[in-house]
Amino acid sequence: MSVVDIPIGPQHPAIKEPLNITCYVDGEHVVGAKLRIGYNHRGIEKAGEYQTYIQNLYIAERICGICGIVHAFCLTQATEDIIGKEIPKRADYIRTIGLELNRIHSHLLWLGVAAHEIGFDTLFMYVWRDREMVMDVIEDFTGNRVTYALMTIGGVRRDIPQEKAERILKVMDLLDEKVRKYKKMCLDERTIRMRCDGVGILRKEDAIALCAVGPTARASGVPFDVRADDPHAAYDEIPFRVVTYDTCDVTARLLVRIDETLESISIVREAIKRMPSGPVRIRVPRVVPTGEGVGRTEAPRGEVIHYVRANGTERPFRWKVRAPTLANLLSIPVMLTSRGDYVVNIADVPITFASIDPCLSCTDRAIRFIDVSSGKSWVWTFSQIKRMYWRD
Amino acid sequence: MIQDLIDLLRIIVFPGFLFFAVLGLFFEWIDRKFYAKLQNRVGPLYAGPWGLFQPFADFVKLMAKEDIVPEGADRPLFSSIPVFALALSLFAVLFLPVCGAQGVLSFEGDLIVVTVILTFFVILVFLAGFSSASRYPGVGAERSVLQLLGYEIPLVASVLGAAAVTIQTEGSLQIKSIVETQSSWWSILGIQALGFAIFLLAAQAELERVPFDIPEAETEIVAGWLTEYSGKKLALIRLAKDIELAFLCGLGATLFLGGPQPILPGFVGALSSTIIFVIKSIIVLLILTIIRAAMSRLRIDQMVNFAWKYLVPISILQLLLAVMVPRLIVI
Amino acid sequence: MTLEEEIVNKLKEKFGEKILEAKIQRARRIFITVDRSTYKDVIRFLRDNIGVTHVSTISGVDAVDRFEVIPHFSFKGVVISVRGLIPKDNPEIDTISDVIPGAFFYEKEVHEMFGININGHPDLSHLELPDEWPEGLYPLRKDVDLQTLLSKITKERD
Repeated sequence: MSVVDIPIGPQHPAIKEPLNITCYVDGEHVVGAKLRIGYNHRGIEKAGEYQTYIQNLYIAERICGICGIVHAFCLTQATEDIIGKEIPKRADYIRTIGLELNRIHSHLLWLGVAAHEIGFDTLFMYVWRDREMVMDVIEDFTGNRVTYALMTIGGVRRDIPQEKAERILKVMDLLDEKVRKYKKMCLDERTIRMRCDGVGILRKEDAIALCAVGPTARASGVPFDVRADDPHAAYDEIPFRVVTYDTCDVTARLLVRIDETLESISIVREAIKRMPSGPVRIRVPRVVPTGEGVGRTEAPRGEVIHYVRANGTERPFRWKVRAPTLANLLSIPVMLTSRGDYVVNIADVPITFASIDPCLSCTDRAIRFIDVSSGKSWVWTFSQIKRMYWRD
Repeated sequence: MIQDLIDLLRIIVFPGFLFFAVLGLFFEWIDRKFYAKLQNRVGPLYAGPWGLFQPFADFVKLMAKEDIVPEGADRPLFSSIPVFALALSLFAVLFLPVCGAQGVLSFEGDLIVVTVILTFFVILVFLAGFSSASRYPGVGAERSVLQLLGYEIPLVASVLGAAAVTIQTEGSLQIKSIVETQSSWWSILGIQALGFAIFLLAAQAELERVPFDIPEAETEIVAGWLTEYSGKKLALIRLAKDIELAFLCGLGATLFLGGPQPILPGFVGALSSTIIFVIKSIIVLLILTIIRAAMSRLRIDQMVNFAWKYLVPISILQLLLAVMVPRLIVI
Repeated sequence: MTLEEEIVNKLKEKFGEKILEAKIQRARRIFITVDRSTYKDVIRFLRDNIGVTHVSTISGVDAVDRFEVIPHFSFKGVVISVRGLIPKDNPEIDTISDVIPGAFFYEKEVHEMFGININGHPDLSHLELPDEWPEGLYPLRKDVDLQTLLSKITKERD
């Protein structure tokens, strides 16, 4: 049979992300894959040069709809490096709690999506129901479900009072039990194992060479976790385990994420227990002195890095964002190519792609509009959209 | 003249087309509602009491939607598939005994016709995928035929196993005599249990439901062979699939659960056996729904592997058992 | 001696004057400035003699009088940013994707956003911008302001 190309995306029910994977298929076997991203490029880096640091914080938060907080954190971290001021300890702890709660919600969300990809909708529904509990506590203490607006340069914007801390702890207990149950389910349920074992193999040497990050790297046995290597916020004071598995397949990525959720729950508990009292923010000048800084943290999907160049004004000279999905995309063609004994079926493509927890809104950053009738496409910039749709 | 009219009513209204169309929609509702309950959701809620009319509302809505035929498609074939599918499923239900031991159509060897009809569905699916001239339906069609190779033998073997006693005692392959035999022969708890389990799995594959929804796997190939269908055509196909669901549940109830055993003569008897038939079919349906909720989708190679390594040998073994055991007991 | 100092010393020992600037900003943050002629050698040295395998990203900067390409390497938690200086009149630099394969996408991004030619890169097609993007329009350059971007793109559209 000849090789047929099957396009998956930019619109496809399996991948809720605007991305195009062209799979070259021989019968049911995938023999090659090509990626095209950029369907959702928003020009945030350019827009950032025209806004003040504080305004950028809120743009950064909107880079990603799931893990926006890590981008806000990286930007504050890089900017604080340039300013050279220490922030209060309590703020560090609250940042840690925010980041970890975000990780729990993101990993649970992923677990649901993964279950849906392999056609196990019951698990999907259960996991997403329980994810609501995390969303609720996040809303409880930040005021928002998705874009928390928690970080600010010089600290955090909201404190966690005692009674809210207790509510968080209560939910953590409930979740701990549930997540353990899901772990058991994923290990025991035969059809899940049939679909995940030995699928989407990324060998350790490939993961290192292609600079994979986050759970994708850790599932290939690379113990790369920014929280442990490059401690920021309160991660140097809270003990936690860097979860690695070495089967390099989708099951490993599944288990890494579930175990990490459990770790995050214990980090949140520990952080609440150890949280010192004191102020949660310091005042910083609006004008950032000349300099450059690198902000880095471990997002749920992997390492996020922001580079900020300041030129002594209140706007950044250059702001560079690298979201984890871009780092992991390079591994996708490797995972999706049959070679030797390793066979990739069409049915494995969605779960393999989903196993890196892709988030392309972070990866692509200009809004692109396509006029379907004429087939032409154009890009609208931030200010044009602002002019057309925002009234000020 | 009167007899002709009654026969016509029997075919069109009860227990023929209309009854099964309503039953199909009702079964879809039960399936969705129960599935939702198992998943801790509410399910259909707004159309009618407890969302009872939701499948019908969906049907009406789809009938009103724009109907698109892809440019490269084989237009006559593509457009006729939904009609064929509906006709085939309506034809199939005529063989089911609803309000007595005998369906609307009943003749010697009708069991063979029923098994052939089950295969015809797959041929329609294949033609639908083939005539869409699109990649996803193509892959879906290919998969549905591969899947048929896996489950057809177990399905036929389990059906024949149910008929084994009748064949030996009366030399008959008629659904009516199977139902009648079952009134004296307990079957489901005995040797037919295995056959019933095989039948359920095969029915799940025939109906393309999890774990065997491989030909229309949403997250892999969009909607498989259904991808290019829209509007009226999709509405008809969905109705046909609902009726097929009712048909297979009814067939399971007929062959393995004793079917509608007439208790009383006359009108009351007919009514009571109809109710018994529907309840037994619902039991089959609920089991199918539980299977759907408790598993994830298999890959096509795993499915064929599973079918040929386990399902086929077990079903042949079961057929042997079904033939041998009654003989031993009778002798 | 801390790991950061060790890395900087090793680099200075090997390349001497060619390291234009080496700064340890704080714990785990190193900034090194080199000319583009030594850029690739430094990175090869980092990989072979220090053991760096992970590039986090490559930032391009239009510093008005010159371009800078800054790969950020991550090694045992230390971020080593190697700044390669590129003159404006001849914007090109050697690829590092043959040294560190993970740099493949980042170099494409630098190329399309700044118009810096990456010598030896196997595929410089668009990564994030659309295929019909106007030739020679590099959105992150400082001389391209929002108005220019807008007029060029809308012209393309009509």
